[in-house]
Amino acid sequence: MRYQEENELEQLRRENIRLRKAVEELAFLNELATTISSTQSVDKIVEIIVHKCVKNFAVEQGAVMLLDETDAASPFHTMVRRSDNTQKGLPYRLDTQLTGWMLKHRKSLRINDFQNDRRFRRTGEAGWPIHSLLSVPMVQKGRMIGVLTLFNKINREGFSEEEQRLLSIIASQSAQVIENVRLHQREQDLRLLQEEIRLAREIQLKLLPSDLPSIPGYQIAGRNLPANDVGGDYYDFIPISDHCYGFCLGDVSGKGMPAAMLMANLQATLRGQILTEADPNVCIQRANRLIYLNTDSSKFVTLFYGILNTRTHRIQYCNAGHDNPFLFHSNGSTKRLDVGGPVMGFIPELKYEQAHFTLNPCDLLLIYSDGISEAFNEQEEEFGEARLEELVIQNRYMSAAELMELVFDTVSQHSKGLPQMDDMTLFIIKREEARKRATVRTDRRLRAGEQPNFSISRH
Amino acid sequence: MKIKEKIQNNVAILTISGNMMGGPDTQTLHDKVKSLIADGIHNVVIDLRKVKWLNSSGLGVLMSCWGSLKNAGGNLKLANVAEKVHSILMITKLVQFFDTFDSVDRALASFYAKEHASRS
Repeated sequence: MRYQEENELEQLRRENIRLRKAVEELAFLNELATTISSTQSVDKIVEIIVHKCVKNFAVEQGAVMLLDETDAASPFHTMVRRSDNTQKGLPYRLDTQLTGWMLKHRKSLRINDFQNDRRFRRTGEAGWPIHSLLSVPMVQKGRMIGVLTLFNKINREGFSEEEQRLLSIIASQSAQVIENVRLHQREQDLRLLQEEIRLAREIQLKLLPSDLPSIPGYQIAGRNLPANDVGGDYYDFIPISDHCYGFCLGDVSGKGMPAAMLMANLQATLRGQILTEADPNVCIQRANRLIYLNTDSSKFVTLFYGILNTRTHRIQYCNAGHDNPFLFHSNGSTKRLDVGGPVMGFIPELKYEQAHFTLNPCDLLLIYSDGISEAFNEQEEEFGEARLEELVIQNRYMSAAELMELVFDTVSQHSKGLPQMDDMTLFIIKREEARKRATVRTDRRLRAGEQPNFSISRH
Repeated sequence: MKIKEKIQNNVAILTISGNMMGGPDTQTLHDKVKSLIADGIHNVVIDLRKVKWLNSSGLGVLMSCWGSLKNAGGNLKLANVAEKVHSILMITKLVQFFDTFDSVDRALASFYAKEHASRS
């Protein structure tokens, strides 16, 4: 009877110890979870984990080694290591050997007789003597993100199975928190980048003409549609004098942010040249030299630059390797404007040529970037210059603005369902019929409440 | 994009397959040319038979190669240029800088002819 009582008492005592241990473990886990979950930095979290584990498990040193995801070429060799304050270094190459073992086996490792362990035999020769270690993988959603290791139990008894289990729980819990913080950091970085791109887009929009001036007798329309937030196409329309206007359309090699930066450089360079009132070929020659100096050998710019004289209706131009613009004559014939020279930024000292022509009533000049002519459809067919030419010929009665809408709509219809691959820019100058000018004037008088004078409109 | 290299009488023949659409892939072509220059090979034929299409970045790399070889006192010749690639060279008016040939043999012959002329 007495024996039975003693036995029960012993069982109760053991149960009590087990429960107390469980409560202690839970309390520790809870404390650790609460502390790290309120921390927003991976470094800090690692520090807390190591510090608390060293204390709770009563060991000489603890370390967290995280896989460095930024080093894609050799992610397993670059580990971030944190240990407690004891300045003792690990034996040579043990870090690498441990993580290598972990990556291979992905399970916890408990060694209480380290010096005689065959797996890490060669590591104990130099450095700090290790007698026991407990190492667990930090796994998050099946992916190993690091290793948590404790070295040398102070009481020399070695690590118990319970401790192995507890450390495994801590590792998986910590992996989750570390991944969350990393995700949060990545999201913040991304948001910052997006904000920068948005600002760059705003800056670039300001480099393009916001609204084109209205010039009596002329219709002018232009639009730039970048494939990404920012692009490498550029067009401009700049008054030089009361009857002369510089206009251009250019395409910088490459895409996205690098192209946008070069586009800004082109805009500044060219605007400076245009205002000198020099001939188009002279402006391009000077700008070519400047762009050559500002870029490496693989970057270049194609550019069409012209000067419109609204008194003589003459256009002087120089084409630096840009897709040849179309000149649609009112008689139905088409001319391509190809006089000039090679792309800019390739060779510093180059002579460019120029040509001129008269824009007769109803004549239409259309400059475009290759994003329009080379827009693909699902069958990988280009929109093509021929289609562009035909579209304008068929609809040449339209105003410059209507025609521009039509071209963009038709190209987008052609590439339906596909993402825009390249920046698209279009610039149109159309000279109005003499009669249409008078009609506009009549309309204005009507709006002002005056009697229309039809005799004016017919002359 | 893949690059195959062959050296014949001190002229390198680089055969490219795949489209030249920029990116680090295309940059390796310029690196290749630079390493040839470092090894004393200053004349290069780029065989574009298997290149149907190149964009502005691809063209930019050809320009870099041309510039590096010219600076080293050599030259770059293009062989088997597809119609589309040729039209890009025409529009950009770069055709005056890039000698194009219908075959690798003809491109090679133009190097040897020049060498022969300079010797005699």
